[in-house]
Amino acid sequence: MMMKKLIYLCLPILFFSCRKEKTSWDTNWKFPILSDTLSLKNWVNDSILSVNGDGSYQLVINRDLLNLRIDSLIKLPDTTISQKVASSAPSLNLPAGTSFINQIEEHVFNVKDAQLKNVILSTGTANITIKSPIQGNTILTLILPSVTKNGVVFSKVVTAPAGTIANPSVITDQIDLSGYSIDLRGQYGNTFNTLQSQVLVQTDPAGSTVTITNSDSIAFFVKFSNLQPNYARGYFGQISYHDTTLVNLDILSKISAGTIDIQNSNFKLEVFNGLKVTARSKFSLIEGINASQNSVILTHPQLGIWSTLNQASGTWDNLQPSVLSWIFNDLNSNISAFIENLPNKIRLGYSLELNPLGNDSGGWNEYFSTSRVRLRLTANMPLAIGLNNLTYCDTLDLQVKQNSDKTHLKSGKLMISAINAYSFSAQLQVSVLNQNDEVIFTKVASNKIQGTNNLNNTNPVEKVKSDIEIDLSETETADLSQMKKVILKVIFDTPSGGQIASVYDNQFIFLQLFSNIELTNKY
Amino acid sequence: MTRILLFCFLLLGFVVQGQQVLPLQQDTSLLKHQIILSGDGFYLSNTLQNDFTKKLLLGGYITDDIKNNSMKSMVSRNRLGSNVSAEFDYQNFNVNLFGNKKWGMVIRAGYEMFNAVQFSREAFQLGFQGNTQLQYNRANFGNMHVNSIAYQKIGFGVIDKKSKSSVVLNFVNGSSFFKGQIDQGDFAQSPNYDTIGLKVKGQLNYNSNKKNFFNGQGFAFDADFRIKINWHKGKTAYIQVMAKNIGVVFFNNQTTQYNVDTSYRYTGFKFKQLLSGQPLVSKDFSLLDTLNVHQKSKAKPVWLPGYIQVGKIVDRNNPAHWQPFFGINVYTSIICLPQIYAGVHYQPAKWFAAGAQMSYGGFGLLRGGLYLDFRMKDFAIGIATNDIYGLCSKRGYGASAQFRLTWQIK
Repeated sequence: MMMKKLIYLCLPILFFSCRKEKTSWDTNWKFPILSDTLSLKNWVNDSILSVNGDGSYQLVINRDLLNLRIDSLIKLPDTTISQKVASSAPSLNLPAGTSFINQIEEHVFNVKDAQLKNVILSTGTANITIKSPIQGNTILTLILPSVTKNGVVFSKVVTAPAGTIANPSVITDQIDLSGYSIDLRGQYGNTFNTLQSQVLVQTDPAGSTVTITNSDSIAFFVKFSNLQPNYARGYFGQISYHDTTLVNLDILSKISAGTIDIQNSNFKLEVFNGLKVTARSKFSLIEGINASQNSVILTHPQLGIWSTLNQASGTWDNLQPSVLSWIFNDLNSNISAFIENLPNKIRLGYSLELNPLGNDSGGWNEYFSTSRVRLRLTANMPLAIGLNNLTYCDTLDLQVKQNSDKTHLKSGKLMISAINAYSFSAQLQVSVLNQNDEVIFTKVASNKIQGTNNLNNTNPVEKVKSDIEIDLSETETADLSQMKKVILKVIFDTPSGGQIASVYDNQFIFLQLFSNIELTNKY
Repeated sequence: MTRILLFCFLLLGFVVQGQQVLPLQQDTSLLKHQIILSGDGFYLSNTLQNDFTKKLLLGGYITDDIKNNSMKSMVSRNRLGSNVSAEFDYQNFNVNLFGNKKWGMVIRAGYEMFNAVQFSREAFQLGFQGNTQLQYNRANFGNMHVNSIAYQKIGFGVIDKKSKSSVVLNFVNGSSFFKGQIDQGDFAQSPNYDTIGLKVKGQLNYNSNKKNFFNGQGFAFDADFRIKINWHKGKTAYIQVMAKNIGVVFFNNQTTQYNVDTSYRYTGFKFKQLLSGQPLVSKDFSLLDTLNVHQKSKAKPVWLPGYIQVGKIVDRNNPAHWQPFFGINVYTSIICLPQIYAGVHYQPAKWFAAGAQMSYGGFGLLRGGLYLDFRMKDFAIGIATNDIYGLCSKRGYGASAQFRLTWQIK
C-alpha cells in the first residue's frame, strides 16, 4: 500500500519540472564602433577649399543666397476667346459639301502693361467648345494661324451633328499647348498681345441638303489656361517686385554657442541679371541671425540704394548674365562682425524693377527659360580661424532596446582614441533625452581630445594622442530604455582662448571609438 | 523507510533533469501480462560542473566563480549531453502472435528529449565571458556540434514469451529538432580590439514551426535480444544486445537550413556611414548576406539518437546473492563517446535488491552509480542513479536518475 502511495506521489514530479528563474550570466565585450580619419582633403574637390603653395588652405565660398525665376513675373492670364459665325442670307438651301462660312477674327490677351510679341509655351491647355444649331451635319474647322508647333499651324476639324437653336449640338475638346509658339503681333505683324482665329463651315459632303437661316449662329469658344512661357519677347512692362526672404545656412545651424575669429575677411556679393531687360535692384536688408537669435545687420555703402542692372547678352544657348559686384571688407562694412556672429539664417530684403525707364528697348525684352536673377555670396580667404568655446550641438534620434527580462546591457563605457594634428581641442558631452525631451542624464568625457599648440602646424606635423572615456553606470544603462534622443555637444577651442590657427592640407584627426560593455545574457 | 522515501524523492526529482544505470534483469518466468513504466533522465559533461549546468538548465545566475570552476577543467573538446525519456510497455503473453505459441505482443509508447553539444574552450569563453578575456585573442570553434531533438513514439512488436527478447517497430512523431555543426570556425581580434575577424564554415538546421506538435513523422526499431550463455562453474548467464530508437524522422518543409561559409573582417564604421542620416542597418541590409549565410526551407530527414547496449545482465531467477554485470553502450550521436560500465548486484532477499556500478565515457568521464529494487507481490519498483557523486555535489559533472515500475500478472 505504501508503495502505491509513493508511486502516486512521485509520478507528477516525474512529468513536471519547474524553472524558478531565468538563466543569466554576464559577458564583457570590447569592439570597435568607428574608425576613421577626418581631414579637409575631400572638400578640395568640392571647390570649397583650395590649397596654397605652402599647403595652407584657401577658403572659397560660392553660395547663391537668392535665385529668382522671373517667369512668375511674366504672366499670361487665363483667357477665353470666342467667335460666332452665321450666314448673311435670310434662308439658304445648301447641298451636301457646300462651304458657306470663312471668317477671321483677332483677339487680345489682357497682359496689363506688357506688350508681348511672341511667346513659346512650356505648359498650357486650350479647352475648345463649339455649339452648332444647324439642322444637319456640318464640318467645322477652327484655325489659329499664329499658333504653331514645329511649323504646323494649330487647327481643329470636327463634324458637328444636327442641332436646333433651342438645343444646339455641343462639341468639346482639350489641346495640350506645350511647345506651341504664339505670334501675338496680329494679322499684319505690327501690333502685340493679339491672337488670330479663323473659322470654316461646310455642310457634310455625305449628307443631304441643309436649310440654314441667318439666325443659325455657330459659336466657337477657346479657353487658354495655365499658360507658362519658357520664352517671351516684347515689352514686359514696368514690373516691381519686393520681398523679404529667409535663407537657411544649415552648416551653421548646429552652432549653439561660442565665438570664432577670422582674418582677412573679404567677401563679395554679386547680382546676376539673366534677363534681356534693363532692371534695377535694391537690397534693403541683409541680416544674419545665429542659433542664439543674436542678429547682425550687414552694413555697406551700396546697401539700400538702387543699382542698375544691365540686360543680359546672347541668346538662349549662350546667355551671358550681366553682373553687379560689391566688395565687403573691414574697411567698408561690418563683414567680420557679421561672419563671426555665425549666422545660420540670413534675412534678405530686396526690390527689383524691370524696365525702370519704360519701354526703352523698342519692345525687345527677352526672357529665356534659363533667365534668373541671382544674388551670390563669394569669399576667398585663407582658412585660418580662432575658436573660443565654439559649441557644436546636434540632436539625434537614438533608441536602445533594453529589457531586463532578456539579454540586455548592464554597464559599459565608450572609449575614444584620437590622434589630432589640428590646433583645436574638443570636449565631448552627451545628454540622453526621454520621450518628453527631458534630460535623463548627461555624461561628460573624462578629458578633452587635445590639439596641438602650434598655430602653424605643418612640415613636420605635430600630432597629439588622447584617450578619453565616457562611463555608463548600471543605473544609467538601465535608464537607456527610456532614451529617445541624444544631444551631442562638442566644444572646440584653439590655443590660448581662441588664437587664430592656420589649417594645412597635411593635418588630420584620426578617431577610433570603442565600446566596452558588460552584457547580461538571459533566457 | 523514511530514509528510503527521502532518497526516492531525491532521485525522482532528478528524473526530468538528469540520467541512467538501472540494470535490466533477465526474468524467464512465464507471465500473462506485464506492464512496465520507466523513466530516465540525466545530464552529463566531461568538463562542465554541476553548479554551472544546473543553472544553465534550471535557471539562476551563473557567477564568474562558477564559470571559472568549469573553465579550469576544460579541454579542447568539451561535451554536454542530456536526455529525458519515459516509456510505457504493455506485454501480452496470452496471445500467440502470428500463430506462434512462443511469441507474445508488445505495445509501446514513449517520449524522448535528447540534447547534446560539443564545444571548444574558446567558444565557451566567447559565449560566457565575452571577448575581453580571450587568451591570445583567438577562438577556435571548429568541430563544434549541437544536436537536439524531441519526439514521441508508439510501437507494436513481438516478444519471446520465455527469453523476453523483443522487436518493436515504432511510428515516430518529431516535435522539434535543432542540429548544426561548425566544421571550421575561427574568431580573431587584434590586441587593441580595433579589428575583428571571423571565419566560419558550417550548417544549421531546425524546424521553424514551434507551434505545431506534429512537425515530422518517421519510424524507429527497438530490438532487445537476450542470449543465454555458459558462465563459469557450470552456471548460465544472459547477454543482452539492445538497440533502441534506430530510425529516422522526416521533418516537414518548414525546416530552416542555414549554410555559412564566410570570412569577415570588421574594423568599425566610417563617419560617412554614421552621419549619413541613414540607419546603419538599412531595410536592404542583410546581416546574413554580409556574412555569406544562405538560408533555405526544405524538408529534412533527421536520424534519431539511437541507443545501443551490449552487456551481461542480471538474472532475476539466479539464487546467488551476488551477481556481476557489465557492458558497453553508446548513443548514435557524433558527440557521444562509447561508455563502458561494470557493477555488482546484491540480492539479500526476494523483495529487495541493490547494486553499484562504475562507468566511464559517454558524455562524461568516470562515474559511480547505485540502484535499489523493491518487489511486493506483482509489483516491482526500481530507482537508480548513474552518478551518485554528481547527485550530491555541485562539483560533480552530471546528475542521473532512473526509475522503473513493473506490474506482472501471472
